[in-house]
Amino acid sequence: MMQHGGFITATFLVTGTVLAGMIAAVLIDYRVQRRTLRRLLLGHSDPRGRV
Amino acid sequence: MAGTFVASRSRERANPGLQFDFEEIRDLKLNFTAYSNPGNFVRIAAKLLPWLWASTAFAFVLGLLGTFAAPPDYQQGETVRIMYIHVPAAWTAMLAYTFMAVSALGSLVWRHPLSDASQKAAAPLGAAFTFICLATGSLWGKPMWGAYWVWDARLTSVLVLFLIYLGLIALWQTIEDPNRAARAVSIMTLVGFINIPIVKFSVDWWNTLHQPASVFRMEGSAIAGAMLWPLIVMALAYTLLFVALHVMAVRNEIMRRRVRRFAITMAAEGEPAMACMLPVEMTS
Repeated sequence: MMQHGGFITATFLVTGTVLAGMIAAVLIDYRVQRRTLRRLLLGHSDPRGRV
Repeated sequence: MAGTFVASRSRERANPGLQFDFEEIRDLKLNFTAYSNPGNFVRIAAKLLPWLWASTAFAFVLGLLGTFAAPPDYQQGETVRIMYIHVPAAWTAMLAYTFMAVSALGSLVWRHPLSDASQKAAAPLGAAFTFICLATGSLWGKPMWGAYWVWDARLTSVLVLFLIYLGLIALWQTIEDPNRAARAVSIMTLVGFINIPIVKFSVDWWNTLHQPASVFRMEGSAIAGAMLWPLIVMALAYTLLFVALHVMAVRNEIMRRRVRRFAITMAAEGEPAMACMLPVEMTS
């Protein structure tokens, strides 16, 4: 059994969770902004709906 | 030479946007004002991001392999593996703040249009890296020092850095007009930059439980080569991750501002559906 294995595992879990959360947040924000912009453009000015 | 770099022929056929024109980037480098154009930024970002993500993933795989291949420390044993996660997080937290300070200068002095977006995008990322630094440091401190937290100069100054990040994020949310918010945040960011040298030199200026600098020293690194290279690779991986996320977050911010401007224009033209997208103060 690795000495202080619990602390090492916890370190990797905490870091992985925060990094994954950060990446997910940026990707979700991108999808939200792109969808909003596309909806605005589709409904009003650009019939092709391109952002 | 017109340097055109293509990821692979199959990928190029699948996505023509991946074709990477280095000449285009070089021309932009010579023309500083070209960076001021958010459209140019979005276009270059779309081409850079796949390469940035690929480099980040490669650096992380290599860094993690090195982390577990590195020998245990003669005093700390296996617990030293926390160093490969904790130290690069601390460096990236300070790098993100330095990046914000440069952006703040660009915002106040040169009124660079992307500086505001850059500052706003970097703050949550910097806060997350600072949180990782504090949490992993705490998990390292318990087995080594016998305490999760001590009011040591290094730990306290990093906690102050985290609080500054949270304050700047709150300030962005408090002021509705993005230009006014950017001005206030820029001033606060530059004032808060005083904390960065304090974080760096706190271990030299005060008697601390935290160990002194062992990599960036005048006398050279005090870490053995077998332990140093995974640390440097992990630092590179964290930095690449920060850059990739920052580029994406700046792109999101540009889109958010386009949505806002579009909604204001539509509302001014009497489109009632657009009113719901405006800030409360503008609809009342």
